[in-house]
Amino acid sequence: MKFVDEYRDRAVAQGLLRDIERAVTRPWTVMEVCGGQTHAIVKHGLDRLLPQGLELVHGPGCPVCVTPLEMIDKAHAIAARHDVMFCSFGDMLRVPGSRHDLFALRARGADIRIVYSPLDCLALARRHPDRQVVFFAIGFETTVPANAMTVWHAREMGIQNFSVLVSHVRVPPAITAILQSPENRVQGFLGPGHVCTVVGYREYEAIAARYCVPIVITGFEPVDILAGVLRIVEQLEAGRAAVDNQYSRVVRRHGNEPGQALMDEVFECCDQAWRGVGMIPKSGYRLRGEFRLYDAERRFEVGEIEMRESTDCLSGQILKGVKKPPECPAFGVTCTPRTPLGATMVSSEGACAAYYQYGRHGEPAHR
Amino acid sequence: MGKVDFGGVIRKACLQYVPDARVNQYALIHVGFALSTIEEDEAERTLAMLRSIGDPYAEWDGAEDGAAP
Repeated sequence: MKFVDEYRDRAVAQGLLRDIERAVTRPWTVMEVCGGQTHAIVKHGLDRLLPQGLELVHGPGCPVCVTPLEMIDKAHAIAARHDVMFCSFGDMLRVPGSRHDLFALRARGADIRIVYSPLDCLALARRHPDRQVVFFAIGFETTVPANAMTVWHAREMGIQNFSVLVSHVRVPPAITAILQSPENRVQGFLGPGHVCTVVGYREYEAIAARYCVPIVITGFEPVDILAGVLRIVEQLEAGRAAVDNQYSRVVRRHGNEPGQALMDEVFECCDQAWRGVGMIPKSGYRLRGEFRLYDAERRFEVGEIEMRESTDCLSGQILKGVKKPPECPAFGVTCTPRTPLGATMVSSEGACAAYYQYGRHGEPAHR
Repeated sequence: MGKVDFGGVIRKACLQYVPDARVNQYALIHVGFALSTIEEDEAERTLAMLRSIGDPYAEWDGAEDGAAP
């Protein structure tokens, strides 16, 4: 496919690797923020091709992984109701809650549907006026405009049997939290290309300046990632810390302004808990007052949620880039994609799932 | 809503966030919404730059046969 195949070109990748090798004079630690980038890196073995001492650590950018356990349990409580048709993207179905996952609930008769787009839920709500259609609205800034448009349309069309269970997260506060952590070792970031497609990268310029850390907005193909790494290393070696846009064929500095306008109309910033990481101030979105009617948490009394998190799962440290999957004793032993202990082993964007899928069990965590 | 060709599979996508999109343009689609159109000129420029980095013969011409720079 055009604009994909060219960015998988072997000769170009080899040229970039040679330039990276030439540029590096000492060890550096770089974090790729987005789970899509993690998968590309592990799938193509890019981390193994980089010069010794240039380490890529994996960031928190897996939406399913950071959705708090409390929200997963609430989703399960709502999905189990007889009057509810619960809709979600596919990778949420196997994420473990305190007691079970959505697949297990579906096997017991709950009406749980996988949708391609949140707009599909509006069609379902109109076709099934006797059912309460609930969409599990999770994800980073990339997904917020889609959910904003869906809620906005629901109001315009007067659809009352539709609501959203919201658990949205924002990247910049998470990067800030990582940089402020005493255990942080990240010196530069590959910025999330698709998140910045929506929100642009002005907010990242303030972070780069304040924490003296280079951030390169990067795409998702192997050539994109190597080009991003090269630009980061060049900045680190020169002692510079600026925001640079490697993914300029898609990302503009101001992002998608019509998308931001509707996000702003429907949602507002709020403090948000991240699974395995904890509360991060101003790192989430919730529905604004005039759209609260569509808030599933308000519509359904889910009662007291008693949460139980697996004590063997290190996903919190993995999401913060402190540990890598093979450092977890449960990885590939008691925790596999079929029997996941944590969400990082489930999602198509989780670091543990990437390591497992591409045969990285039993290898040392550090070279 | 518009029709989008995903390498042979045609699906509908909401184009309200890309008001300037034209027929036959490439776009980034996420969960049924177009979020950006691809800047073809920018993509070509980036590729040309990357290819000049990636030209495997650029450095070997001189280095391998020991020619003076």
